Amino acid sequence: MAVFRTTSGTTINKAMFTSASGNTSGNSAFTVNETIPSDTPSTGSIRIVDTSDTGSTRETRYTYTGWTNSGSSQFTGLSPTLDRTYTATDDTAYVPYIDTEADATSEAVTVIYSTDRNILVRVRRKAATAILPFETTGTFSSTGYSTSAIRTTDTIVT
Amino acid sequence: MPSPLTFDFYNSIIEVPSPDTSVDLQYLINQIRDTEDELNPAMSYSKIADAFGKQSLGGGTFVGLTVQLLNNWKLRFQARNGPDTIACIVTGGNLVAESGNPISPSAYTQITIAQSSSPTIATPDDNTNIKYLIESLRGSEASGIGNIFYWDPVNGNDSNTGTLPSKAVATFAQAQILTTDSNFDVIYCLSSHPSGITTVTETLSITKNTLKVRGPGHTFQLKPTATSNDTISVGAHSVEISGIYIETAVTGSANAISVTGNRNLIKDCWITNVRGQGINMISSAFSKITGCVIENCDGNGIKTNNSVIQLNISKNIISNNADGILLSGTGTSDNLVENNLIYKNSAYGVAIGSGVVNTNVRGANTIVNNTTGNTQDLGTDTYIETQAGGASASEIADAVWDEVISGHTTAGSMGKTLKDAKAKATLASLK
Repeated sequence: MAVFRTTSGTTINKAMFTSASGNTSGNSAFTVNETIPSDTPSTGSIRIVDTSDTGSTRETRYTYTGWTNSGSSQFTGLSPTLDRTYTATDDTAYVPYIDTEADATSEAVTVIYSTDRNILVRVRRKAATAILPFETTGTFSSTGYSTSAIRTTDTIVT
Repeated sequence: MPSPLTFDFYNSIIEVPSPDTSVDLQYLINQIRDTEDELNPAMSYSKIADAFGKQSLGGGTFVGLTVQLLNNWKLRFQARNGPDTIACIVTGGNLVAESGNPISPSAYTQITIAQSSSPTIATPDDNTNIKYLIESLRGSEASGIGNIFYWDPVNGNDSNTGTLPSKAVATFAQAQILTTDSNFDVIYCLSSHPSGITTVTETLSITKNTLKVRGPGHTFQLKPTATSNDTISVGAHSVEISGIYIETAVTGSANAISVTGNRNLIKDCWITNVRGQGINMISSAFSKITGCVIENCDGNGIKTNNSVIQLNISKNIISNNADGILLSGTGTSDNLVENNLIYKNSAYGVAIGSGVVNTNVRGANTIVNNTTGNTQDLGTDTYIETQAGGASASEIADAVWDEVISGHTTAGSMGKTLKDAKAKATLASLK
């Protein structure tokens, strides 16, 4: 399941950040030009878009263990390490609020409120009991956000 | 089995890799849903397709499948090198696209889609009657009338449904998860290795009542490497294990099969090279071991422990073990050994321990050349039938001629009767 920030509707904001210089292949940190907002999860995943890649490897997902705005704005503890060198200002990145394989009946993340955010929630499952892809939109405000996924059994897949 | 499809999320292309020349819509939607739930990168993209249909129309007929590709997604067959153009086909229902054309062109391929305004899926009607008929022919012990699952250690995948050979799972553990307790389900073991022999190192712990595990025979071999577990352990009732070649790890003391539970059937298995017991029975009633070869066990070929009753051991070949069959334990009674060939075991062919009650060793067993002895009876009310063909005519003649005179002079014996008759006849003639 995943919860993304959106620009509008169901369009994910995939340019929350732009790559700074020095993000070379093998690095375990990713530096961005923008200040990382306070409502960024303390750990999670960052998805980096190589805008010059027009194939199936255009986006890569890394997990991170921390972030900082001290000095440069940086996500640290990346796993795996960067698989390529990213181009400063051209390549972009975005951080979902939740981006995980759920292992319980609910998933949650606690962040520091910054400003109201439009979000997109997705839940998908293809397993012995598959469900139809579920998605909904909402607004993450100062009171937080919560929703229930409608898990309709997929009667087509086998 | 078709190759996995590849998904290019940036260009919205689903590609059927070469050399595949066809794609079934059921397979397509399965692959789409399987890909859509991947974190990287699918979760950050909208869903690829919707699918409709498969409602039952009765009589084994269903509304056909329609797959609608969304958001400009298209299907493409991998480009060929030419110069020949390869004919490719999309089958299994209607493929449509939100954008209009669901097909993306590629070099040297020509695509055919068989579309219909009223597609249907026609499948055979309920085959329950056939299931019952077939199972009735297998004998009273077998009744695999539940669901069928396929276990293919070579080509299977544990994310599959297991409901067809082409959708087999890779491990027994997953296959058993798919089954239902007490539902008479069947797991078929598929031997699909190109060499002709499929070798499995997994150990099987059977916990579902009435589960039937059926293999193809010698070509499906369980050869565990772990020494900690018995190769097959049954902890359920009315389980069937048949048609499997079974060893244990080369070291340790594991048993090939251990059984705790009632009415279990072990049939047509080849059990060999075992460090412990070939078959170890504990607390079991009305179980049956038949048609098996049980050989080369460091322990006994078949061993009963406490509370094994009415075990039927028949039509097995049992050799080169410690005891061929050892019946032992408290509360062990009313067991039957018949029609077996039991030979060249290093201890007894059949050993019956003290406290074992009402054992019957009967009905055309051949028990020969066992080192310590063919049978040992320390039990209570044992019946051991004399083996047919055990003595030749000359041996019988010798036994008669060599019998001591006293055996023919006691009252009621044939010799004494004939002698008395002769004396009476002589006296009568003198009168």
